[in-house]
Amino acid sequence: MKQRNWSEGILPAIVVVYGIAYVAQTHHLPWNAILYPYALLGMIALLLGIIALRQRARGDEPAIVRGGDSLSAPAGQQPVRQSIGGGIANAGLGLSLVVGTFVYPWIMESFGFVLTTGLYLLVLFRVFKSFRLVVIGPLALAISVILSVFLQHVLSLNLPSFGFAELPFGM
Amino acid sequence: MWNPESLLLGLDLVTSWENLLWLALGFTTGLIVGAIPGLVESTFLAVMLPFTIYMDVWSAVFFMTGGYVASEAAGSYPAILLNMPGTPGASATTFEGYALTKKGFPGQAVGVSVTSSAIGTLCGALLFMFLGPLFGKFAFNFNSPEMFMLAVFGLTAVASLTGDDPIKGLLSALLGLLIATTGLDLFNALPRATFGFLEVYDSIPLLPALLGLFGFSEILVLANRPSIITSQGITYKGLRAPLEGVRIALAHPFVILRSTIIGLLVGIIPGAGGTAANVISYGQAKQWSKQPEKFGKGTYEGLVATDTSNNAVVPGALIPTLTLGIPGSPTTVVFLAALMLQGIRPGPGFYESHATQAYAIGWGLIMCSVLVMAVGLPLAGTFARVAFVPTRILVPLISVACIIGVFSARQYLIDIQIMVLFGVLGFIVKRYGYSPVALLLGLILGNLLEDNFYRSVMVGGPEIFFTKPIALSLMFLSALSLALPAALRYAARDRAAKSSERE
Repeated sequence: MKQRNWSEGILPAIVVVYGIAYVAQTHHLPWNAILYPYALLGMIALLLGIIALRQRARGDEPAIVRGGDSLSAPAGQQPVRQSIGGGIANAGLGLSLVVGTFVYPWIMESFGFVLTTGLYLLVLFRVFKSFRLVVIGPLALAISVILSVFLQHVLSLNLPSFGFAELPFGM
Repeated sequence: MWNPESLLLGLDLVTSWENLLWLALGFTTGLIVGAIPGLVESTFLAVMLPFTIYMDVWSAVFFMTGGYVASEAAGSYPAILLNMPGTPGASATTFEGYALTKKGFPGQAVGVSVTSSAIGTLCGALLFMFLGPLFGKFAFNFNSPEMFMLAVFGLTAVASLTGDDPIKGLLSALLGLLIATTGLDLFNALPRATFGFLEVYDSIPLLPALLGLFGFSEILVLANRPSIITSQGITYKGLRAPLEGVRIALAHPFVILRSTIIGLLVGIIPGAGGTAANVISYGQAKQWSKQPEKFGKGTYEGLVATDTSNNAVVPGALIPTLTLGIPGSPTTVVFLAALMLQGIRPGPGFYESHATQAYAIGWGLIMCSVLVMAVGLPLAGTFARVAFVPTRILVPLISVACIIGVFSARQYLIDIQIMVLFGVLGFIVKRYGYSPVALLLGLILGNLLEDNFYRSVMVGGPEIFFTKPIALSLMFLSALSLALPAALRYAARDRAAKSSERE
């Protein structure tokens, strides 16, 4: 029995959901505002149809593509790059990076730049096992303080500060 | 057309101490990044982009030019010494470069690579300064229909050349164009696809999208690599062997000339880039060689071909980027975005309004070719060692750089979340063979395309695209750019099927 590679459908699914949301928000607009985007949507739907038909015809052909290095190297000379693969084997690391970065702005609003960046680095250093445990705390804080000084005093940016109490150095 | 005064003013501009400093700094950073396998030059430029907003516009351009040339050159160092291309443009360099290293000639191979890269950049820069004004003059008379068709051609060419499949590439480009319609529409100023977020009423901000697609998505790919390489590699000491490599490279003038022309032409074609030039040039060198049987076993001829061409791509790719506003390589998509973020709109008329600066970029490229020799010869081995930096340290630091870069540009917290969303999208797009470059180009060209489409239709109706010769030619080229790769692929599959039947 043929087994389908459902992960191939992730991007088409995202596009379809986005397309539906797009139409839901814009269907009441005058025609000259939506003619061009709807023409694009039509072409996208057509291409998705072609991709779906091809996928169906191919069955369970291997899908994951690796970084565009489709070269035919001489025997024994295949670059190492191809042999180590191009994706996340451990989804947990990637997921922690995505979630951590996504919630970063919400935490920064309340806890300020220095503490949030320090915490963010601390978590990433810990998750990725970058340095020894005793080192990562001071290192994360030091980096975030240096960055804060650079952004505030060199680039003259106004950074969010800790919202619950007055901390030294405008933290 | 060639203005000697602008030429001299361009030299004056690039040799100001501030611009020289930024060029050298960009060059040094590019060498380090180029030598790290997995960190491609477009990622480097994307991560650096937000910080260049605070620089003088032309200092920023020289910084990026230096970084682009250096990363193309440095990609060869780990390819030769560790069998690990630092950039995709150095993929074919491993074929001969590492074979020479294994035969016991690592220093000579590095010398050949450095010299070929420097000559490729130099010859490409001279041709850039010669051809740029010609392209600029040709593009100066473009009106709305031509501009629309030019953007369509750029998108179709990029879509068919940068993805694994033209259909997926085209879908990526259309998705980029659709996302670019976010914000107030041109006629009625009514919000489209803003989903209640006031921050995207202008349109989706380019910088978070770009950093997401090229920066954050690369971090996700790197995230689970314990270290980029595991082998210790082979190294060399002293300058004697690299200098011998210089002599060997100079003994192949025809290979250099042919590879420069290939690199430049591939660079000019929208969407192709160092990888295509590298491979085509290698194939041509083998075809024209008197000893093709030696290819793959460590021949200097093949190494000269690959390393000259991938560096000649840089000036070649900058020609359509500056004169037509259509990027010649994936990296120049980011370069184009950098110029736009600085308030400069490359395209027809660029050479009329910024002739001095265009020549200055040419002079900058020439200086980079000198730097490639001056820094590359003694330090290539050292830069190749950068590949040993573990990703467990790189990933947290680069992700913080991305966050700060995005936040510092507009100081909107939502921009960080937009970057994450585009990062995930970019990761999925790459993983399943779609084209992040076409997606980004769609985002960049979206407004220009919609604007010129409506303007053309209002002036002459839809038939206007068929009555203008240049627009019609570009339409034909667009169709060809989509059909040709598909036809070639079909022919190759047919050939393979027939040969397997015979066996």
